[in-house]
Amino acid sequence: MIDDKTLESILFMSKLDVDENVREKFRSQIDSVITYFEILKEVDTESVTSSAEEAVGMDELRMDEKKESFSTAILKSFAIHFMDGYFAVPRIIEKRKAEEK
Amino acid sequence: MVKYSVVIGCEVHVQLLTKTKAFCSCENRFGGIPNTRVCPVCLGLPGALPVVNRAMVEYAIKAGLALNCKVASVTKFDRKNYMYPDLPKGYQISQYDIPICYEGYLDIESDGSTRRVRIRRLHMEEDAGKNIHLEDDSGLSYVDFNRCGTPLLEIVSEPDITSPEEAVSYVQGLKEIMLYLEISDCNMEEGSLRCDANINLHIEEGGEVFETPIAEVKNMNSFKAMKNALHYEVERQLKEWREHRYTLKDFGKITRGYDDRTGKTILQRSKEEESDYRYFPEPDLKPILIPEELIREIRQSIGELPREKRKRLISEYGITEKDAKILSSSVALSAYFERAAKGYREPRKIANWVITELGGFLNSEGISIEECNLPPVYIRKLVELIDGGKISGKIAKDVFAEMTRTNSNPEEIVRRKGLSQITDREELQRVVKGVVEGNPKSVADFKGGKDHAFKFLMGQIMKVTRGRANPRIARDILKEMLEDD
Ligand SMILES: [Zn+2]
Repeated sequence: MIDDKTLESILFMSKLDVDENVREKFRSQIDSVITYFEILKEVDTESVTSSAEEAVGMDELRMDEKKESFSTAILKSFAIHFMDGYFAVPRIIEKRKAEEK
Repeated sequence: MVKYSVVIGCEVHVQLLTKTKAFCSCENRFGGIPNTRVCPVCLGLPGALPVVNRAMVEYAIKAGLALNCKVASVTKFDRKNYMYPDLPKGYQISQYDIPICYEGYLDIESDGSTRRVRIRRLHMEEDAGKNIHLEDDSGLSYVDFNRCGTPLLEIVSEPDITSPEEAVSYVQGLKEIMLYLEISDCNMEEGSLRCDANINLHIEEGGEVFETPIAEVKNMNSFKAMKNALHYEVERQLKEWREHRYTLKDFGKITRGYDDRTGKTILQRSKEEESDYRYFPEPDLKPILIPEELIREIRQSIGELPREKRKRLISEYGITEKDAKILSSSVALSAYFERAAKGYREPRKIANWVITELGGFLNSEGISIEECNLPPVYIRKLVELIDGGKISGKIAKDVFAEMTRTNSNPEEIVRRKGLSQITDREELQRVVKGVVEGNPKSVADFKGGKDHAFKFLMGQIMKVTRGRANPRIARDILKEMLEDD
């Protein structure tokens, strides 16, 4: 599990402010994200090539034509916190480090 | 006394004016009702696959060629992984090791001479959503994903810029080109043009050169803010050097945000390296082959860039730098001017009429030069009428108004309305005589040394002739008559 210092620094970097009572829950969530990144690091991306053979031509790209987006009703149905058209997420802190040393 | 030089490199983000987003068919537009332009792809829902917008790739090539870049024959996308609430996928689709364009340059004017700023790379990526802060006690923050997936170009310069003023000219130069290519509206306030600058100082001391820690300055929302922020940063780094002698080796790169209210930059975070982002090739998108043929086509479509055009207009027509700048800001406007001025001996006057009168007319009507159907040759004919002494400058404005209203030939208007100037001496003598006789008091005033009386009498002559008297001839006659008495 990540220590306090790492947690603090992650909260700061991601501009999140978390209440004391959910702090531990958050710690375990962040921990699982970080663990996931550790797993990602294991993935051998060197073998992922981008050789010209598998490349596509311009004709296979999408034409710049507009299509319908999601309706608000659909968004509401799957968003946990949805308010006045916005997705609600934990507060982003505006705290800034004081002038350095 | 320390001897130092300023070293700046810019990272500019430009939002592209494609109709749809980078990797999905949601509409790409600024503002509007939150979260109304989102879909499984731009929200990063599991299973949704991105598809590259062809227009984005073409715009990127266009911008790259206009900036003298080389264009990759194969390009690819990568994932840039980072966690932030406005990035629903947990990564941004960007380009890492094979940017679509690279090794270009932009020439800028600096202190009256030309400087070349090399461009390291230009790549495509998607924008993130927007966070909204509310002053409530919910502990929540609100996200609008409309902007998420908007196509961006990131243009990275080499650290060739040597002053805050040059940095501003560089970004202004980029803006001018993007506007000319019509691929972005480059509105800094709305964030469709964003510039981050990496700045540090090279300080010479005791035969050695020390580099101060590089600050990446963010949040500069106008050209003025940019200039202020970078000047502040130069002073701050100098002070820090004097007090602590910190160097690049001690700190590496730090991020500082500019606060427009205080005019200062504030430390946001220290040390940031590319490895923090963990890039890897985007598995959902195949690399794209860019055929030579397409590059050639796009190159041809670009034509003369604003800076080249400005230089040519100045040398070819002898117009002022200021006028050339205005005229070259739009392809249609400069084309209009050139059609009007071609072959005329005083193009400066044509430029003046196109910019001031025609520009004012378009403005008041709220139409663009493209929508204006007044033939350019009418402007030249109008200027010819003035230069040939047929009408006065004042009358010309009336003719112009009539011309724009009825879309008719100025010569025709002058003839029809009997507006041509009276240059006939005898006719003018009769008019002046009448005015002198009708205004004995003013004549007396003039003789008593009151110069303004002369102006009054001239005004009367213009009034009687409805502005048609040739002012030079009328003035001579009036002088003669007043002195003869
Ligand atoms: Zn979408």
